[in-house]
Amino acid sequence: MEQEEKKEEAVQIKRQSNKSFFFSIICLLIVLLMIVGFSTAIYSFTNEENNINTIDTGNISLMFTEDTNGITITDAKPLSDEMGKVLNGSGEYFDFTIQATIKGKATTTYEISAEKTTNSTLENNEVKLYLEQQKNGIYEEVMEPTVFTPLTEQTEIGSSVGSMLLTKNSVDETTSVKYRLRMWMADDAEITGTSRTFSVQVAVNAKIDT
Amino acid sequence: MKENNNSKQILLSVLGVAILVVAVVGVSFAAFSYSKTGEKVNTITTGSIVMSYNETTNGINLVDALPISDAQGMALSGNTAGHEEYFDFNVSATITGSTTINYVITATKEADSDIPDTGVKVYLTSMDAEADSQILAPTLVSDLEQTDGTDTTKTGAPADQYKLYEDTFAASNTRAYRLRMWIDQNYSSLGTSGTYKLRVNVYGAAAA
Repeated sequence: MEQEEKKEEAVQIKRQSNKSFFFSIICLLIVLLMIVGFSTAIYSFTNEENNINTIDTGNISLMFTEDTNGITITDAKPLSDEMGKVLNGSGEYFDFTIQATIKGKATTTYEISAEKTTNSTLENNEVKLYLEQQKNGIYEEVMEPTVFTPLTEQTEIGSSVGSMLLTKNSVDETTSVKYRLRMWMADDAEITGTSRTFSVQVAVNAKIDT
Repeated sequence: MKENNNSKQILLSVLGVAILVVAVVGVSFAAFSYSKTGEKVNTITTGSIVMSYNETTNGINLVDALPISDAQGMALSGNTAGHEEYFDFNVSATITGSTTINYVITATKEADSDIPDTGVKVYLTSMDAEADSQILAPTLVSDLEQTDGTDTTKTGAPADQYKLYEDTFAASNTRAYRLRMWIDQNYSSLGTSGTYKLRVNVYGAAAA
């Protein structure tokens, strides 16, 4: 009787162990499927001629560098767009670079926005921003002179509420893009009895296209 | 007892897998986004302008006025209560920065005036340092230039006002003026009494 009880106990233990083992296998399979699913954006699948199936890992990095000091214009006066677009003196424009390094098959979308600082006292419609991009050594317009227009909600890429979206671009290979920002007082704005200011900081947000 | 151990093993396995899933998801999402706000602050700052117009005497009030010559008109200097022969006023600007202000001194005839513009002369002088120096020679009101759209752009003055004088402020300053007004010696319609009223205005705007 005692032996039978021991045999039965052994069988039950074995059954429990089998269940545990089976359950663990199921969980591991689920995890493996999830890894494959989430990683498709940074992994590329290559089918070689000799039917060798290869998975290569990709590598993406983005860098935003500020190439000049920020715009500093004191004693600003209302300017026409024609005059504002050609401001070229020291402190009258701001240069920066977006550098994307992409290895493998991937596309990155980035947004450049201008975030207004809290101490700004000029109204949004009293200030114009203008963005150019350098192409073949020449700066070309990518955003025409536009009054500061804040976003009402965060974009999918990540530009924040209240900031102004200047431009959006997608890159699928290693590249470096130079931009030039100008900012001036709109020609229909007025100088009042109080000195007023408007300040922005440039922000860059990016995501991998899936 | 052994059943409890098996349950613990299963629970630990599940927990271990859950932690692994969270780690994989966390690492996977971190590799997909980039965000950076620059350090450089881009700033524009305006100057400031305050303009003011101050009338330092009562307006001209000539009763029983008769036509007089320009020489007599330019010499009008009485200023007693009820008989004011000239009108003094100041135009001031307080400027920070290098802004220049264009301004114009204009005049508009009041609606209840019944003497025509061809019968009245005006004469404007600068009273800086008490000089009383001519800046607008004796001129029939009808011969004064009138403001138009160009003036509106330059100084903010509405159209169709008589221009007495225009100038600029390049720095903070106060300028004093004296206006005289009289019946022109050639005006002859004196059969009935008449009235002529002129209002002085000053308009200014920052130069582009």
